[in-house]
Order: sequence, then C-alpha cells, then structure tokens
Amino acid sequence: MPATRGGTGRRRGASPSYPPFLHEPYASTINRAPGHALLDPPKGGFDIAGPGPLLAPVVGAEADLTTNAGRGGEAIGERIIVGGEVLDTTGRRLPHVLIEVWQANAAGRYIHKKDQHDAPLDPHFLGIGRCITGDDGSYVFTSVKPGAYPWGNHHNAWRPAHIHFSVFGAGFSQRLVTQMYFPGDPLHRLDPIFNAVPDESARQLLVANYDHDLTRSGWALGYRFDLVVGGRSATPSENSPAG
Amino acid sequence: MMEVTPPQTIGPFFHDCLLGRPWHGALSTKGAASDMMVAGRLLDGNGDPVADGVIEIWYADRNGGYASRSEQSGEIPERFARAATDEGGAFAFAIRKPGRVRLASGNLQAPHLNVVVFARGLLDRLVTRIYFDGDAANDADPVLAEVSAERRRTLVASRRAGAAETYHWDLVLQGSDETVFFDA
Repeated sequence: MPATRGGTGRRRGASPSYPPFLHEPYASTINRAPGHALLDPPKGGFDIAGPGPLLAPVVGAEADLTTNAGRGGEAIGERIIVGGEVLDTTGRRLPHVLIEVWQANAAGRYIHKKDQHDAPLDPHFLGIGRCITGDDGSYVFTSVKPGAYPWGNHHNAWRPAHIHFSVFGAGFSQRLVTQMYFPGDPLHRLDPIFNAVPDESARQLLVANYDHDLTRSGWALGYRFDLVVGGRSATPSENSPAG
Repeated sequence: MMEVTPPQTIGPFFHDCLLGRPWHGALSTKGAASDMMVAGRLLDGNGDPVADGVIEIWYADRNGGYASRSEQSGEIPERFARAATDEGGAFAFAIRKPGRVRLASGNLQAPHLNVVVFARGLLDRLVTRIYFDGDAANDADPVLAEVSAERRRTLVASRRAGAAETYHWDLVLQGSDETVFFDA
C-alpha cells in the first residue's frame, strides 16, 4: 500500500488518526510525501527507550509565554491557560514528558524571520514555551490565544488559530508533533492540514475543550488538551547490552 | 485502547522553539569527543533541497543500551542530536560510533543511527536509519534484511575520503532514490 494512504502497517494502519502523507489540498505534500509504503520493522526494532526522559530535566520548563520574552512587559491578547495530560493508548499517564510549544501572537504573526505576514509583532511575546509533565502526567502553561493567519496554499487561505506541540514520550516511537486547535473556530472546515486527518472523531482530538474549571476568575480562560501518544515505552529487557 | 492524537505538520516556523535557547549551539556539532561525522542533504521529489526541515538522531551507547543513566546530568545527552537543514537542505552531525543493539529475538543489529525527520509538507514524522558502509555486521542486520536489495543502499552512509571518519548520507523524501522509511 503506498504511503499516500493512511497506511496498512502496524502503527499507521492500526488507527484512523493518521493522515495520509499525500494530501493534495495541502500543496506542500505533493513533492514531499513518500511514494513507497512504509516498511514494518522487525518486532522490537524501534521499541527502544527514547531521548525524552534524558532531555526533560536538562531542557527545563518555560511555561509562561505571556512574560518569557523577558522585556518586563506582558503579551497583548486574550490570556489562556492550557493544560492536560499526556497518556499512552492504554490510558497510562506519562510522567516527566517534555513538551515544546510554539505559536503566533494574538495578531497572527510569528517571531520567525520567515513569517512576513503584514500583522504587527508584539515585543513582549516570543510564542515559545516548554513544559514537563508532573508525576501525574499533567502539564500546564499560560499564553495568549494566537490569531489566525493567512498562508499561500490556495486563494484566501487562512490557518485556524493553533498552537504547535512537540512531544517526547518515554519510548522512541512515542514521538509526536501535532497542532492544537480551538473550539468553535469557523476555519476548521476550510483548513487542508486539519482535514488531512480522514476521520471526524480523530480530527476532534486535535481541538481543545473549553474548561471552565481550568479558567481562573478575572485572569485567564482555560482550555484542556490531552495528548495520547502511540508506540510503546521501552521496558528494561529491551536494553540488554551487546554480547 | 484510546485513539492516538493525530499528528500534524511541523510547519516552517519551528526554529526559534526547537533550535533556540537552550538548544542553540548545543546540538549536532557538539562533542569534542566525537569520532565520526555524518553529513548530507534533505531532498524532495524533484531533487530540490528541503531548506525548512529538522532531523533528529538517537543512537545506542557503546554497550548497545539506550536508557543509560551514566550520562552526565545537566547536559543534553551526546547520543541525541537535532539539526535544522540550511538553505541548501544540508545537515551534519558529529557522533560517536554507536554500539550494537540486540533485539528481543536475540539477533544483534549492526551499528546504526535512528532518524526522525519533520518538515512542512510532511503530515506525520518519518522514521529511518543510517548504517555505515563497510561495516561487516550490515550483512547480518535483521532490519536491513527486510529491505529489498535495490533500496537497501538508501539506508547506508558512504565513506568519504578525508581525515576524520566522515560519512555521507542523503535523506530523500520522494522519487527514484527515495529513502526507506519505517512504520515506527
């Protein structure tokens, strides 16, 4: 089966969550999607410990994006608290997981030098953060709600408001890069990246839920976003030294 | 079983987060004690450079283990590196020679780097491996054995003439020289 489909392999074929690599409405996939099917590795080949548990304590947390530009001011925009749990597919919570996040500012502009969208930069906002899940697998960070922004994929194309998440689980195959979206955004149905996920209920896993219990009165609105990583955490027996 | 959170593309604006502070300067060329270099280019289906990709490598220590606790704390482990491609699609890693990892089946694998690549236009990560040309262990490697003979070469870095042990390996996303990727 070509890798253009969701896949029939052990990992990608087992879940409706995986988008195909080739999704022509998202133009950049046309020259970058692999044409060959992914190979199922021999059992255990990639069931190894990943770098995440070694990276997390070194990299550390930077969980307040409203002030971490470090210039003594606060970011402009609708203050949000984003929190949730990182779990594996058995429902087990994953502690000490490193999460790196990045996003546009409230006007829909990234600090990245390649973003030339005609919207103002905010001197008090970098849009970069990191958190580490606690012993209970939970994370939380504070930011401002990112704005939608235009991109050149097709005529009048706009990305819905989103926050990029990069996650290292415990096992190597638990590596995940995804995007978190916001509930009620009218741009979801028009976005080819979001809609590359073929299954409607899987797409909804990318949309955070407004959580009034996470909302802090007078301060910030709360959004809950759990991450379920595929793959396996390594077990001790998988790391036997070479004889 | 819970459904996995779907992956989405990394997009083009990750550099300040994934390669900025505290990562900046700490990755891919660190390790004065490195004994090998692997360099190459990330290319698309037209043979054009992918100038906005990021590659992560992860490999076993000399004893073939991954979860070593003996590494110095306070520093990013040597066996992990992350590098963005430059305007020409080029990347480079300074590494130590990986140890050999035994599968649960008992089979011993040849020395290799595990590779994950992300880029705009990739809706999910891609996983592959780099083996080293000239290593006699490659002939008996159980993962290489699963790859067709004509595509096996895409997983083997070639020796470059030069002072240090320098290897060349291109990561080709699509086309006639497409790298083998694993569903991992």
